[in-house]
Amino acid sequence: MSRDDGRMLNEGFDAYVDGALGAQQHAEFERRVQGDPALQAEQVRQRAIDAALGRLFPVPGAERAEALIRAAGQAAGQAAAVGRHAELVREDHATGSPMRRRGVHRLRILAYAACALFLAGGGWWLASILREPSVLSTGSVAAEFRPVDPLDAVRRIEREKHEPDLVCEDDQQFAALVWMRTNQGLLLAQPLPVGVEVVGWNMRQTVLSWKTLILMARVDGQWVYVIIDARANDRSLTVPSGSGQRLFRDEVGALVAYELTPFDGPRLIGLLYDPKRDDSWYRAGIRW
Amino acid sequence: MRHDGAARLTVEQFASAFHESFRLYWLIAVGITRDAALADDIVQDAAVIAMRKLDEFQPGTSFNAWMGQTVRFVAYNAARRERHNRVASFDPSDLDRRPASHASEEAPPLEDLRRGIVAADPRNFDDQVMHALGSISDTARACLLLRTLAGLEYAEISQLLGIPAGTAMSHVHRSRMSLRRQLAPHLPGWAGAVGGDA
Repeated sequence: MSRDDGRMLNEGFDAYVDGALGAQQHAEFERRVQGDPALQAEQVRQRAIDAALGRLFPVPGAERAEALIRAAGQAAGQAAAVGRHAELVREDHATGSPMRRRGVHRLRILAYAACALFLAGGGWWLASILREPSVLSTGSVAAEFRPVDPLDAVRRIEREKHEPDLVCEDDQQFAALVWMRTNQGLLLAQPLPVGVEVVGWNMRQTVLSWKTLILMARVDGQWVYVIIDARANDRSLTVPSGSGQRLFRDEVGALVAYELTPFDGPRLIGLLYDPKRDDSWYRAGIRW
Repeated sequence: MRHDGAARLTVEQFASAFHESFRLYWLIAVGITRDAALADDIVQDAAVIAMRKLDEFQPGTSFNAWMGQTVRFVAYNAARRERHNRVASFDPSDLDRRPASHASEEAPPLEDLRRGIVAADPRNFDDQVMHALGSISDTARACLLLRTLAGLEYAEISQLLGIPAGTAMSHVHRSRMSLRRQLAPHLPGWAGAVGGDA
């Protein structure tokens, strides 16, 4: 293959993955991909990268937009006017009134498409990657990450009105999520004590590492958070006295768990345990 | 969206337009900083600034272009501040209080902790992607995310980022190619798995 051929092939491939080819050209290129292992590999790489981008940067939902605009309105001294907008948005969402503009509709369709693409691509990629875990065991990088203070993380979660990134359908899914991020499963002993209600996961607060998970729960009507990560990523988390919050630490196998709570003692981390199931059980729990 | 007519943009109109395109502003912010949590703060700060400067918005011009410029301005400032702060993210005195279990062989080097840097898990593909994203420019990253995660047309990206549409397209294509090349060694099983029967 000449250098020009390579360049043209790259341009063709880019146009193909970009959806920029016409229907006929797309079909032709599709056939070409089917018969070319190198192009297939390139396509697989691109899908894996796109899926990773979706996981790394989960686009926030409309509720978060509303929370941010309200907070911004307060900061700018325009709370009342922003509040009127929020009422209109809620009314619009409830009634489907004409205020729902075409642009909003289009953005929503794009968001749904992105979600579907992310779920399809991510699921496929995850299933494949789990079949061959060794493919991720090569090389080494020292990516930088910005640690988030536990209280800042909670403030952000509050600002998002505790909107979970994931609500697990069952124990298997719960354990699989932790296993995927930390290589060890985790469950909460059942039945949960009276007054404890698990709300869902926040997966975007980099308290200890990129892979930090925060379990959000209501305990006797108060918000309690469990920050979970691999013990290898642990560092001394503290909260200042006078913050109204206390931090309790525990270890479960190779994991570390910090409970951030307004109560005098931990109510959740003592319930955590490693279910010690085989990989296939965890893989079957990956359903998002 | 465009707000036609000579009337000044009201706060309600601003809030409505902001709400409509919030995700795009968030993607610009995260494209520049690579920090999803920080992106929230940036978009909120940009909204505060914009609300205080509603008079500066010219009716009939693109709201997204105006707001995109504000988000970029705040994001670049935040990125600069983060780069400066990252070196001293930890109170060294806290290190003395680390529990005994932290002294295991798995614990990150002390110097890394002091600098707020933790070695990424080489087994995690997402870490590799995040690392590779660091090698492309802020604008290119924003273009890539707006195209990949929001599905925007290049003309729309052009408006949001204040660059020609052709440049946006070039950024996206070059970024994709660069990421594929950089990440290929971390996906050695893929080519064989897909093309194994060839």
